[in-house]
Amino acid sequence: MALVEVKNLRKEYGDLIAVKNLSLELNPGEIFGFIGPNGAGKTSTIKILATLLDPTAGTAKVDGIDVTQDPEAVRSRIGYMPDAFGVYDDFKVWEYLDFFAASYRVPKSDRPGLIDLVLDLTNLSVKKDAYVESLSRGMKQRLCLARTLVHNPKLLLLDEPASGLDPRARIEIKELLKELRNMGKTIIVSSHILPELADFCTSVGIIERGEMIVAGPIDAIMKEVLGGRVLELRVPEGDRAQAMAILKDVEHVREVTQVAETIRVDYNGTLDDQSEVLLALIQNGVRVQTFAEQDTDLEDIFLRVTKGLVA
Amino acid sequence: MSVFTENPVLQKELLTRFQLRRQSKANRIAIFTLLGLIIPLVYFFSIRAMVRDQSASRDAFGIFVSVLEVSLVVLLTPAMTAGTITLEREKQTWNALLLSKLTHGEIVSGKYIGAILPTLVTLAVLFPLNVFAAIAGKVGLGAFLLAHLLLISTALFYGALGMFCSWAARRTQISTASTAGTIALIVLGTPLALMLWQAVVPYNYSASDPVLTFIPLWINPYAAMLELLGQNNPVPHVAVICSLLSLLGAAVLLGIVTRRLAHGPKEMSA
Repeated sequence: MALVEVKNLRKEYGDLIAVKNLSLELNPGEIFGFIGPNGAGKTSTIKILATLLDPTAGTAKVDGIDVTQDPEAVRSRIGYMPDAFGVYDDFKVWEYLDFFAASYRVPKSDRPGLIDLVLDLTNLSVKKDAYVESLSRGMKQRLCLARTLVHNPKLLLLDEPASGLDPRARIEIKELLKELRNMGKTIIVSSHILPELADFCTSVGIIERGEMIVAGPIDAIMKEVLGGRVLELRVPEGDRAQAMAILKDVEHVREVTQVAETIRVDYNGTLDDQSEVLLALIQNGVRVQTFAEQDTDLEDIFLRVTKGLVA
Repeated sequence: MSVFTENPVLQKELLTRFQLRRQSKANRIAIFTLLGLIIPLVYFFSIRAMVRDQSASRDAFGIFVSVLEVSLVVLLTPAMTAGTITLEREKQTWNALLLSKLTHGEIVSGKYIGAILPTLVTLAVLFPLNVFAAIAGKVGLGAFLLAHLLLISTALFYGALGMFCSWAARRTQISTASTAGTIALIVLGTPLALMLWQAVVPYNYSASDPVLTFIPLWINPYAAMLELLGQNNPVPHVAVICSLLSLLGAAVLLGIVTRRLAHGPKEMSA
């Protein structure tokens, strides 16, 4: 049974349609990357799943439970980390986690062990007795994530967990998410930092103006959207115009563009045919300096399928 | 879950409200020294005045209860409760509370009790002085008990009023302003309304007590306390009515907040 089932979800704020007939299905253990520009409807969708917003139409279920029918039951199954969150600065780190463990009815005798466990997982054990106020932003982010784990939820809803962090803190959060993936958690994570999601997401969904444009495993989406490979090559400046003209006539070449000093070739032929591109250039006397297949990433897909529109 | 021993919200409120542990050692010593000096001095001078003169004792009881303690309740309690929910929204910790397994009743009761506790503790500190003044000034047991019922019910109502505004408003400033406005309307507006009424309608001052006949004054705790401690009213109707209305008002306001807790304004965004 799918852990998350969203069908024709719609959310309206007055005249503004934030989410338009969005459907989604996630199995246990999946890591779903939610990608979209600001105002695309990611946060609204996550908040509906977190029972913080009521949908205007459609259904959203977590573990088979409708979020509007039995929100209490859903809350015990989810851990929600918002993009902007606060902490109780006057608390010590362990007191903060103890407070939330108590709020989730974790028995008093179980709490010390549980707190040590989540602190260890989030690499905050050395800060156990520090005041929350004294933590860096990255540490607070990890503490917030630790808070979402105290009741051992099946589903984690993480809205921009790496926003506003420096590169080191971002890497730490990424490592933590990988650890949670290994623990078998199902995670929905939204982020603007697209290459980071590609690393550990099993599937992604790209949303724009409240509509899911494309969703599925990253490889399948790449194939569907890009349809082939991108080749990148460098030639001396004097040969560049000639090279571009030659490439346009090569079979399976769909598009040739110049990006700074490199030529990008959108190619949908097979790997065996690919050598024809290089051969055509060399036979015509073009001095090829570099020739390589470019790694396509989520950023490419994102830029291709979205138009930069917001609701 | 026991409200006092197992409510994490109440424990959190107490922990953050009395932040002595975060003060430096020097500050802590200064606070305890001040408290240790002020309270005994108040007791010393008050008791000395009361021992010398019985009428002074009765006056002292009147001043303590009707002016000092009612003012304390009217000003301190709503100030403590007006930010209980809005501060959580502003600090972006409200959603996390709502998403926990705590019932709305536990959240509201924890925050409410935590916020009115300083007022109740202050009243408790002054209580022995009230007892001494009442005994020395020969204040009747009924009046003494009713005065304290009025104090406590007023504290509960004004606390609930602050909490209601904190639930309904998005920001603490708005909540505090609307609470203060409502209190000003009750405490200052009702005597003003009486004056206007007396100016418009021909009034027989000798025939009846204005506090008894002018209904809007029945919700004013100062008027109720003055009537209670006045010599001319054997049955203090207004004090009884004001106490009951305050208890009813507190119950209604807290009931609304509890039932509609998740339907208030949303948490502030970054």
